[in-house]
Amino acid sequence: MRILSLEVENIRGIRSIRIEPAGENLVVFGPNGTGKSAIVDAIDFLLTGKISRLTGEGAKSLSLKEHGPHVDSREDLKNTVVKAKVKIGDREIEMQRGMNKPTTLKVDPKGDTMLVKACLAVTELGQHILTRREILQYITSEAGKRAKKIMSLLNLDRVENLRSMLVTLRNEAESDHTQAQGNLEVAKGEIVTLLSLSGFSEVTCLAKINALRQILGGSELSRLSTESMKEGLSPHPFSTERPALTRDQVVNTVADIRTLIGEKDSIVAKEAELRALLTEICSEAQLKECMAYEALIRVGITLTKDNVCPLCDRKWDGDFRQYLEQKEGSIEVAKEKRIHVEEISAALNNRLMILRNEVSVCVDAHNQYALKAINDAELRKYLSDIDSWINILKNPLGFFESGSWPSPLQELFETPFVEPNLLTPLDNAIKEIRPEISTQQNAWDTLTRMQDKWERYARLVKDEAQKRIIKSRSESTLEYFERARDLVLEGIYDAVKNNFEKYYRVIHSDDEGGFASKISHEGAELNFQVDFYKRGLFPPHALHSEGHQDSMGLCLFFALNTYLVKNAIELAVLDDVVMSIDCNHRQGICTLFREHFSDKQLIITTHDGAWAKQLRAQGVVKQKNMVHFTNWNIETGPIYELEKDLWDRVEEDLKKDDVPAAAHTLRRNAELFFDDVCDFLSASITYRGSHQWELGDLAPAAISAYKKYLKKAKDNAHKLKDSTKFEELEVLEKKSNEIITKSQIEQWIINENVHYNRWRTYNKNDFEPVVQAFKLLFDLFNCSTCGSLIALNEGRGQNSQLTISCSCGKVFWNVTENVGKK
Amino acid sequence: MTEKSVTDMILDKFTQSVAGDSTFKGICEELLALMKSEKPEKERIKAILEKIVDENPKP
Repeated sequence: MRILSLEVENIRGIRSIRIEPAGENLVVFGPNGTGKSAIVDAIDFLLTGKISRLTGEGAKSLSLKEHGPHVDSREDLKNTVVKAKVKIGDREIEMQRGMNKPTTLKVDPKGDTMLVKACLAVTELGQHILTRREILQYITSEAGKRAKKIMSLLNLDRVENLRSMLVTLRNEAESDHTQAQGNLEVAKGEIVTLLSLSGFSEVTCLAKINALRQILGGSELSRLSTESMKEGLSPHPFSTERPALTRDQVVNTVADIRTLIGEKDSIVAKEAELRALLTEICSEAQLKECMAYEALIRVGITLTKDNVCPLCDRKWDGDFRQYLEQKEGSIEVAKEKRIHVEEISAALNNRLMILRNEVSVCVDAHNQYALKAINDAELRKYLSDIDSWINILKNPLGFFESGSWPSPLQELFETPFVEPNLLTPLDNAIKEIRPEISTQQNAWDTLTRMQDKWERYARLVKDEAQKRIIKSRSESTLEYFERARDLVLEGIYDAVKNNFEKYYRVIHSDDEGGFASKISHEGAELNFQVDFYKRGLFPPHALHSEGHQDSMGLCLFFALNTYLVKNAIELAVLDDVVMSIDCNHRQGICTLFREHFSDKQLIITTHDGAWAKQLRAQGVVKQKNMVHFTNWNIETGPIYELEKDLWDRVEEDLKKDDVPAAAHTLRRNAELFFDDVCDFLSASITYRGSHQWELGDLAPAAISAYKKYLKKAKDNAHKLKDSTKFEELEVLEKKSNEIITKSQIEQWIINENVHYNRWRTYNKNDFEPVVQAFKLLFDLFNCSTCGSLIALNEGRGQNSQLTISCSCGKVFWNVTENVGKK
Repeated sequence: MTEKSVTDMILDKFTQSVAGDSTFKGICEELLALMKSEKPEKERIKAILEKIVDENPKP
């Protein structure tokens, strides 16, 4: 898509403007505040229905409807319109979009609507406009922000959403597995206590069960199961309905509690860590808010049905669950803290569950043996304290916030209470009790209790195995996905990197011809490093100057543009992006534009008139496509001049037989033209304090420089025995002398008409030879192939040459002093 | 390059890894179909990851 003509009515700072770039490059230049960027905004609005300047970071209070129209047209949106005639392939199509209906793009002929929309799909990436703000995002931003920017350009939101979902699944699976492992350990501990084992293994359990079965006259089992535990055994005549606690079991329980108390220090340390974490969360309002928000989103995800918000009951336009999942993924810090809190809570909970089980056995023992030594109320309070802690660890943040955090966990494990009040009395009481039940009954009771324990154990083994597999799958799914993403992105980044380096070398061929870079993806960050004069790789904004950084931003934009946009849209808008780049490297940019982006229509804005002129002189833009914004006011918008093709304007004046107008146009443009020529040829000119030179100063200086260099080039060709070049230059010298002589003869006519107002005495026929003479004179300084001005160039290095050349290299004169001398 | 093709390239490589991992035997196709769908839901992916475990647990 190329823009043939553009009409803007009442958009941003523009009242009314019409520009006709005819599908070719366009430069809008002028001082700050003259409305140049409004042209960029208008094109942006036409193509996307949005103005990117009014969105993104720092633009929350801005809106398209309120700030998109001209400030005096906000109440009359019907007249805020952008129209364009564009060319797509060989089709010429009219497009129009208004602020009153920004989402509606009118296309004429209507049959081309799909063609236009297909072409504009790529503008959703925002890769049709480069601003200075964008350059900063590419170059100076943090790796994480850069990754977001680039990933957003690559439109990888869906990939990131999938990854975020897989991370959540992996975390949940890990947490579930940890919980299952804890439950299994508790069950094993109970069996160890019941069977008086030194440690848990299925083999030792089987051996112990077989020993108990042997007491009851049963056969040996080869494997354990709940059903086989009492297989072949008859109910023992002394059995009670309720399985009794054995003396050994109580002794083991006491031993187990003492072991747990031995872990006091690590348990207390974990509680302290948990409290510190909760204190941090509560002291940072934003973090606390994020955690609450994350909790709300997680609940919202489970409650969402049919895209209806569970809070307000309104139907969501789009996939509400996916929206919530995206939000959930975006609160990474809160998620990390939550997971950390959950992990510590799960570990503490595990120890407390074991303690609770053991103490429960103590309560049962108390009841069974009617032990007077233990205070029943005290024991139950202790149990109740453990239960409170288990309850608190289900929602630690809630309890901590509400100030109902109990006395330190340490107290539950303190020997001053547990040992004298619980364990020692129980120990002593048991010593005095003789076994009240027979060995057979003890064996029967133990097997009966073991049936329950083993059933629970088997269920928890299965549960743990399931959770382990889910965890393993979740980890593998995430790992494979991230590896696939990294492989694909590395391929893309390689392609982008190669183009980036190629473009940068074009601009900085003089000082960084061997420039290299590295783009790599690590987790959620995109690292971008560049070579600094072969001293290693550094961040782009670490050592390079601002001008070099601007070049990098421009090159990275075009490298991404080349990869993403390909030929879907030929338009690229550059909004004042070379402000820190010096004149020599701007020449490199012109070369880049001409050699690598001749298939694109570039729309360039700049506040720098010299850069605008350089673009014209280097053949990037034609004079007729130079739009000069000279001033701006709120009523009229930009005050501007369209720099039409000089010869067309002179021709128009002459058609009207208006010789003074034609003379004025020619003189004014000849002054501008020779001003550039003098600059490009480093011509010597008499200094004026007013910094204003007239044609009479400029043209002779330019011609003198031209003659001097032509003569030098001819001499050098002779010295170097380059007869072909010598003859070519000799012919040119002869021809140029004729042209110069002729133009000097005619020049007075222009002066007469402009300065002495004798215009009535001259007619069209008198002036036409003057025009012809100046045309030929101008042509001497322009390359007939690329159209650029010839310029004096000084190479670098020992064998460097001083040359006069054009942009394409067709004109190439060696004007080095002392050529041929060693 | 459009979003779809970059995402598809990633999912294609992901498919190769999952298909070659015996842990995913029996759920591979279902998982990939869901991952490639327009709006994959976390709970559905979770259900698929859990599915085969219920049928063939490894104690």
